[in-house]
Amino acid sequence: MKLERIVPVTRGSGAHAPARRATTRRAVPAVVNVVVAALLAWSGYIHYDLYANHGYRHIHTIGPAFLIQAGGSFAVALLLALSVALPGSFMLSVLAAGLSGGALLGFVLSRTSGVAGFEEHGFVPAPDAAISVIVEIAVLAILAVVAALRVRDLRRAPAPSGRVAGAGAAGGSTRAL
Amino acid sequence: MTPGNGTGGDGTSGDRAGARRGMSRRQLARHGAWFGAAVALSVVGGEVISSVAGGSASGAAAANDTATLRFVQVSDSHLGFTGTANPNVTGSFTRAIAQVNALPYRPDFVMHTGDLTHLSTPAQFDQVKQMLGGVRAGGIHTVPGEHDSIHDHGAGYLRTFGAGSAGDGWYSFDVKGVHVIALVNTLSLESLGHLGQDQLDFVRKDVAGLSSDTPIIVFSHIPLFAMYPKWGWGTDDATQALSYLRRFSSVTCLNGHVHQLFTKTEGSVTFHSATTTAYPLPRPGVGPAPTPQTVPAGKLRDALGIREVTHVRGHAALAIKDEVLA
Repeated sequence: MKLERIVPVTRGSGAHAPARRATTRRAVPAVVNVVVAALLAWSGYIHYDLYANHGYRHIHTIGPAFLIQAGGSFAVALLLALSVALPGSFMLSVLAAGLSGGALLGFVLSRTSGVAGFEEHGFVPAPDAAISVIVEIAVLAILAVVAALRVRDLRRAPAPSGRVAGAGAAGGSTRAL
Repeated sequence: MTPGNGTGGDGTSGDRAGARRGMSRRQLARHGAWFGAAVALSVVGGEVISSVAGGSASGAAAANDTATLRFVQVSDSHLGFTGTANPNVTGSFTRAIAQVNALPYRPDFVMHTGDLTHLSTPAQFDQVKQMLGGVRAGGIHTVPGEHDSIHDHGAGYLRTFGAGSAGDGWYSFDVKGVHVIALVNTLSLESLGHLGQDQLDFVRKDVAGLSSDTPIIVFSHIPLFAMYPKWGWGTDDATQALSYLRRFSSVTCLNGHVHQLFTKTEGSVTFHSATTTAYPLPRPGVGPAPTPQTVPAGKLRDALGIREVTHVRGHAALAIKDEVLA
């Protein structure tokens, strides 16, 4: 994603454009973090609600899995939000992807071959199942786009020897995303 | 990737250069710290959620015990079985009964979901009747398994346990606001379990006068869902019976026969297969046939167990707790 496509550059403000770009580069990652955190917390809440109020906690293996999903999602969501103000870590993205991907995998298995002696059909319980799937796909999609852009920018970045200072321009979108 | 947080330490372009050289000790520590924090917070969150969910259920149960239905399901005791999978099924069933009697409450009833005996002999029926007589509960209920109707089409079972039932042994009763239906799907057994038209009519008439918010619990020996039809783990006319129950907001079907825990939901209907007190069977499709499985010494108890069920009035879902044999 190009920053220039996100933030329109005001004509005639050439002197301030670099500063504005720098601000945006700092803001966009924070926004992405917050969005992923919110989606993850939403997924965690759905699993918590199914666990606590809809009987899933009494299903062998599935109950503990929902508990782990809910607890893990709330924890990673909180840390993602905190990482806006602190030096973050790719580890949080890996964990977020793992939680969402794991939940999606469990959903698919429970509708096909069964998982740990548990089967369900379709998008039940409604609407929780459908919302949860959409939210988890959104998390994975956002993280995939961010990861793809980062890989692209790392490939574009100049070699470490010599022109390190010049890497900023090429890595602009990497820093932003 | 978390935005702006690659392997770089402080987000400078030099970090990308550093990334190519590998992760510094400082960066490794930072990533480790975030990972550790995530794990620690997950554990704390899980503990909080678990206690909140558990606390609300037990609190509701304690607040008004007359509104709380608690019963135990035991299944497939197969008294008379002598194979290597469990040379002492009587001992296992004795432990199951002791486990029920050791519960901190007196169950409203205990339901045995079939295959009480292995060969339907009068001696085996007599033995299981005597043993069930030692259960401390508000009532003892049973449904027959196919092993309880060998050679006599269930006559021996009906003589022993058929009092108060209709037809081939089906019946229903109400307890603490819950309507319980006990079905017989083992007497007209072909490749799958079968209820038959008389029993289907019974179900239709039995629930006709109930309001749709009445919780329904259905017991049967063979699953009322198609768990694995190739092995006969299903009931060919269960769809018809379940059609009479679709209007109810909470329907729970509990069965035995398959000797293993299995759960399936279809709309408002949830199916729970129970384990056994005798011997394990293979998972669906694992192996050529559902024959008794001999497990390593010391592992048998883990494959056997009982099931505690709690229903608090006003809650749609039943709390089901499967426990291995003590």
